[in-house]
Amino acid sequence: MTDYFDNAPCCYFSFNDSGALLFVNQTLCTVLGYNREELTGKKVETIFSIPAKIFYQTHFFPLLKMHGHAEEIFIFLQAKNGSQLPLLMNAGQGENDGVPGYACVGIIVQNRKQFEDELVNAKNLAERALSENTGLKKAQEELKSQTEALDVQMQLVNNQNNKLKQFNKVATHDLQEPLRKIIFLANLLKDAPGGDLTQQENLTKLFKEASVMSDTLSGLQQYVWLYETPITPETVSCLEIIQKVKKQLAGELGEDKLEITTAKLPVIKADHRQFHLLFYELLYNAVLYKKAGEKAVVGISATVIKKNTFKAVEGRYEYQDVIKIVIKDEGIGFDPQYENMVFELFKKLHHSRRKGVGLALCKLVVENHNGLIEADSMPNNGTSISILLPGDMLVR
Amino acid sequence: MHSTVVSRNNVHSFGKGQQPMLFAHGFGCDQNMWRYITPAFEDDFKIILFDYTGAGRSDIASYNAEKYSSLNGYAQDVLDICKALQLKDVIFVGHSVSAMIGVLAAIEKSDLFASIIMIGPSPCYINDEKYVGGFERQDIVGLLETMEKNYIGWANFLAPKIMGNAERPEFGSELTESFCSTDPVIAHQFAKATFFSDNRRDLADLTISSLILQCSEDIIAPLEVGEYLHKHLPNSELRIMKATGHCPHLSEPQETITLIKDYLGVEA
Repeated sequence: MTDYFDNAPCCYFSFNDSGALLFVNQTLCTVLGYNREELTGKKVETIFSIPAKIFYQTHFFPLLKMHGHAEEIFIFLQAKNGSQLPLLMNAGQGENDGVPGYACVGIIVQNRKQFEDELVNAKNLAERALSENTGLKKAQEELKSQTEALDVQMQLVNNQNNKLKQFNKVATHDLQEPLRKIIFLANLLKDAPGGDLTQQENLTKLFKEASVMSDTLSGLQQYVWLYETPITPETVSCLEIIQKVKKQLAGELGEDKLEITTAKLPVIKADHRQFHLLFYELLYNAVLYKKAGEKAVVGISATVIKKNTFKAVEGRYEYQDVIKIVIKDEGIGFDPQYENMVFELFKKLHHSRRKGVGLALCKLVVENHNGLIEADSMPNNGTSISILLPGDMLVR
Repeated sequence: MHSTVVSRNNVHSFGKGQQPMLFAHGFGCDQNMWRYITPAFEDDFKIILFDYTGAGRSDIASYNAEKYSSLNGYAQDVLDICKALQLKDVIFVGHSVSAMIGVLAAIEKSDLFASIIMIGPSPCYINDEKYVGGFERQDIVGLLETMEKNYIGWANFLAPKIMGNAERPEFGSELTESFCSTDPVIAHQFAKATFFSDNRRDLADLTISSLILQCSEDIIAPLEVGEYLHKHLPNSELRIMKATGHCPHLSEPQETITLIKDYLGVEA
C-alpha cells in the first residue's frame, strides 16, 4: 500500500504552517531529481520556481490558510538541475499525528500546459489585436491629447469665470458703497449752514471712506496686474525669498513678531516678483492672525509627491511629480467651512484694517504657475496653507 | 462622500477604543486576512478594515484602470477613507505593498497619521545595481503568467462575482468563501503596480514614526530590504520576526500581535 502511494503516478507533498516539508513521495523526488532526505524538513519553496514562490506567498498560502483548501492551482516546480516542470495541484488542510499541515497532490501537465499556453496566447493575441488596432490606437491618442487640452481649457474657463464674478462684485458693491457715501457726505458738506464742528466731523468721515476706497482700489490694481502680466520664469530659491520677506516684515511690523523654521525648501523656476508677493502675503497673514500676546510661529517645509495631473476632467488619472510647499502657523485659525472662501477676493473672516486681498493674490500667483493652493484650518489651532506646483518647476 | 467610500471600499469599523487602527491588506488578498490579529486590539482601539477598490468585496464598478495603475491611486483610497470617517491620529497597519501605500498617504497628509506599522514591507522589489530587491524583472513577468494560468482554474468561482449576486442569491454563501478572489484583469494590474513600484525616493519624506516587522526567510521582502528601509526611514524601528514567509499575521499571529502591542505600548 505504502509502496503504491510512494510510487503512485502523482506528486504528493505536505508541509506545516511555517512552510517546512513534512513528507514527499518518491514520484515527486524522482521528477525533481532529489533524494527524500534532501527535501524533508526543507522549505516547501525549495521545489518552486521564483514566480511560484511569489504566488505561494501572495495567493496560495493565504488561500489555504483562510479557506482550508485550494483547487486546480497551477505553478512551476523547479527541479534540482534548474529545469521547470508545470504542475496542476489540489491542496487541503489536514492533520498527521496531531500536527496540523497541508497536503498537496499534483500532476505534471507538460502537454496540457502547451494546450493552455496556446489558449492563453490566442486570448492575448485577440486582446492585443483589439487594443493595437492602429486606427483605434490613433483615435485613443488623439482623444487623450484632446482630453488633456480640454482639461487645461476647462480649468482656464473656471478660473476666469471666478475672477470675473469677483471683479463684478467689487465693481458693483465694494467700490460703489464707499462712493455712494462720499457723494452723500459731499452733499451734506455743501449744504451745511456753516457749522464748523459738523463740517469737521463730516470731513473726517469723508477721508476715512476715501482711504478705504483707495485701499480697495490698490488691491484691485495689484490683482489686475497679476492677472494681466505674463510670468517671467527664473531660478528662484524659496529660502532666500522667505529670508528677504522676513526682513521686510520686521521693518514694517516690528522685530520679534515672526519666528520661521524651514525644512527642505526647493529652488524652482518661477516668477521672482510674484513669489516674493506670495510669501509676503502669507507671512503677513501669519503675523496678522497670530494669537494675542504671542509671536507668530511659522513652519515652512516642502516635499515632492505624486498627484493626478487632471484637475477638472473626471475619471482620468495620470500621476506626476508635484512640489508641495506647506506653510503652517500656530495662529488663531478659522472655521474649516471657510477653507475655500478665504481665497476669494475681498473676503475677510476677521475684522481688521487689511484690504482682504492677500490670499486672493496668493491664489492668482499660484494659478499663474499652473498650481493649486489649499487652506486647512481649525479655530485656535493654526492654519496650514498647501501650495502644489508642477514637478517640472523643480531645479533642485 | 461617506456612504460612497464606505460601500466602494467595503469599510467596516468596530472596537471599543478611540484611536483608529486602519488595517490595509496586501496584494492578492482582502480584509479577511486580518481576522487573527484584530481581536487582540478591539478593546483598546477603533478597528477599521477595508478592501482596496477592485479587491475583495469592494465595488468593482468604481475601479479605474488609470487611477490604480499607480500606488498613488491606492493611497487615495486610504485618504478617502480617513476623510469619510473623519479619522485622525491613525495607526496605519499595512501588509506587504500596503506599507508603501501607507507611506505615500502619510507623506501627503502627515497630520492624519500617528504611526505606520509595516508587515513585510519593500520599497522596491526589483534588484537595481547595488540595491537588493530580491527579484529580476523576468521573475515578475513569470508571476503575471502564473496568475494568468490560475485564473483559468478559478474562472468558475469568479463568475458569480462578475455577474453580480443580486439576482442569483444562491451564490451568496459561495461569495463569502471566495477569499482572495479578484477580477483577473484587476489582479494583473495590481500585481504590476505592486512589483514594478519603486518608492525608495519617498522614504526620507516620511515624518511620522514607523515599525518594520521583518520576517525571517521572506522571499518577497528579504532581510536586506528590511535593513534598507530601516536605514532610510527616519524614526523607524526594525524588528526581525521568528515567523518565516511573507504572511506572519496568518502563520504566526501571536508573535505579530505581541510585537505590535510592544511598539504601541499596549499591555499584551
